[in-house]
Amino acid sequence: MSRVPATAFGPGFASAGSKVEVDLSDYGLRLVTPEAFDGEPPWSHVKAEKRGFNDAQLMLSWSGESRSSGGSNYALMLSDVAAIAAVRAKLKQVQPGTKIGATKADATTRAWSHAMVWIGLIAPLMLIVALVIYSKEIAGWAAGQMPIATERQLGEKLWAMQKPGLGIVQRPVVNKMLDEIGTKLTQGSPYKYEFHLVDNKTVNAFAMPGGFVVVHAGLIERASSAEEVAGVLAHEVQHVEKRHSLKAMAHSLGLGIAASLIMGDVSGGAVVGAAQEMSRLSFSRESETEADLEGMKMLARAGIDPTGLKTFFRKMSEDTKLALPAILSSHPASEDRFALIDRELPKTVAGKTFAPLPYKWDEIKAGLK
Amino acid sequence: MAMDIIDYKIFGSETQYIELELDPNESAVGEAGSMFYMESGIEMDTVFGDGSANQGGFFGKLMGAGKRLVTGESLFTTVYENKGPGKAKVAFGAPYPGKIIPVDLSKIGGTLICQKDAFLCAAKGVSIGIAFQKKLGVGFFGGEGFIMQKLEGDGMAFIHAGGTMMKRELAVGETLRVDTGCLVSLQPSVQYDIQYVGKIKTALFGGEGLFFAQLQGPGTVILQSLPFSRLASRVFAAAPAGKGGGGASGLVGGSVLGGLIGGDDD
Repeated sequence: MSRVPATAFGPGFASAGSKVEVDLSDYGLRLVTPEAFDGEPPWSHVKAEKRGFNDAQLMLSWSGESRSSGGSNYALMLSDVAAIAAVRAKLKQVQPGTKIGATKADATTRAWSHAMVWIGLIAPLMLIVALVIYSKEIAGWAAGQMPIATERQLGEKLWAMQKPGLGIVQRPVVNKMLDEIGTKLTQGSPYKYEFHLVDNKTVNAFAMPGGFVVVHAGLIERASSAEEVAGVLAHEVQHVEKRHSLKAMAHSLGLGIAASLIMGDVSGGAVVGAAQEMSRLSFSRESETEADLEGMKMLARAGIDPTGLKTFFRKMSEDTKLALPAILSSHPASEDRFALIDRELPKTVAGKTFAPLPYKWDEIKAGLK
Repeated sequence: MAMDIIDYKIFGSETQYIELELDPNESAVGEAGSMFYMESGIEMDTVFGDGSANQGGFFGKLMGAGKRLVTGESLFTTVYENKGPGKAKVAFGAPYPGKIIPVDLSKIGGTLICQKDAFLCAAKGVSIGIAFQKKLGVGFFGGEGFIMQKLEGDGMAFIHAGGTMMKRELAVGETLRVDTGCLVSLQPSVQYDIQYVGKIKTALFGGEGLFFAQLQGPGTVILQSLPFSRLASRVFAAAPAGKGGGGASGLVGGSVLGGLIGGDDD
């Protein structure tokens, strides 16, 4: 026989429960209590279940002698871990096979609460996770949906924002060359291209959505033939044609939206920020490779030797070892990328002969001054 | 743990304050920021943790303080000790319209689980811990969240909640369905669950949300007629437009769903 502490509820006990001690006999429960409590409920009359806050307590309930209120009108609540274990052991001994379960919420309540947890929490979380995982696919699809006219409008806005700070210069010889090569390359394109020269010593070129291509003077300086410049132009034009900047923007927007959903900031700060970061976006490696390969095809179609693209980017990668030109921070050079160019170049040029571009390179370079 | 027996008096009707009369060397703990006035002789001391004085060492103190932070209290507890030769009084004001209800922890078995922020003041020695709601459905839809306060000890504790308070002793097996958010405190022997309102039509248009809080005896429960969130949203709704932005919620449709489920946001 063991004695455990409990709190007793029922007629005759304090309304908030009286502290009692209970003897657990083979027959049943005997309360050791200052209050007069007659009766010793046998185990067969006692119902045991998990109750209380968090189901942390064990309730032993039984019907009183009087049966005035009917049902279980006495209860012992056990909260002590050792006491609960003692009762469990006793119950196992006197009533083998009894299971002490928790009172479950009814089926409808459970169904609804599960549904609401799913709708309110798990589904949005999964949506965010999916948004992050499939962000590239979603971004690519979204970018593909935008009509060219809209892209042009967006490009014009961005161009207007960027233009004053770039330092655009007119060097008739160079501009003429850029325009001529560009026109040759972009024949039949739905985009309307503009090629600009910027007085900047860093070796760089970039394209903005809608067909704005900017070439730094430093790039012309570093190039050793018009074919190399054509290679860079073809690469940049492909970024426009394949909508890489739109995709990158949609991608970072998507991530920004996902982040703002997680952080709970729906004021749009992230969205605006992402749009402003636009000018500093770098393209993914896949985008660069695509621009390389498609650029080479484009050059071949326009009758320009695509070898220039290869030699120029190769030259850039060798420069990396000396200093890091800007073009490499946004155009990641990797051996994989060159390997692919090397492999694809012979296929592109196979069976074709290219006339050299009709520019005297010394004159072009002199025209930069 | 020696408890201080406190004489107290509650003043006011709808916005109350409580005055504790401390004997020499007797002390009380108050929720930070709730002190109203104190007489000469009473000295205020701020202690790290909950001031129950039995936390061994630095780590114990840190744990106590962490628990307080989780339940929305401040890291520090203010202890008011009467260092004067005679009796002196200290008063604490309730933070919003409602009632202060005194609870003698020794009469209800030593433990009371309360709504977050419900604690106002107590005799020194009452410890304030957390009671974590382990049932997912109850945590989300029961109106009290996952974190509740647990007051332990055998002295007097004073809790505060909105509107008019109702104290009820539930008999064994007696069930009370309560609007979510209206539960202030319960004895640990009380079963706290949620219950679906019953009909989809009622759920959507009854204005009580999808669930009730269901309390099943035995044990004492204390309810409030006006949860502060309900009062706040009424005030907010009545405020001139444009002054406050919509509270941004963390998850998609959080406010919409919250309104539907909680039912007490209106």
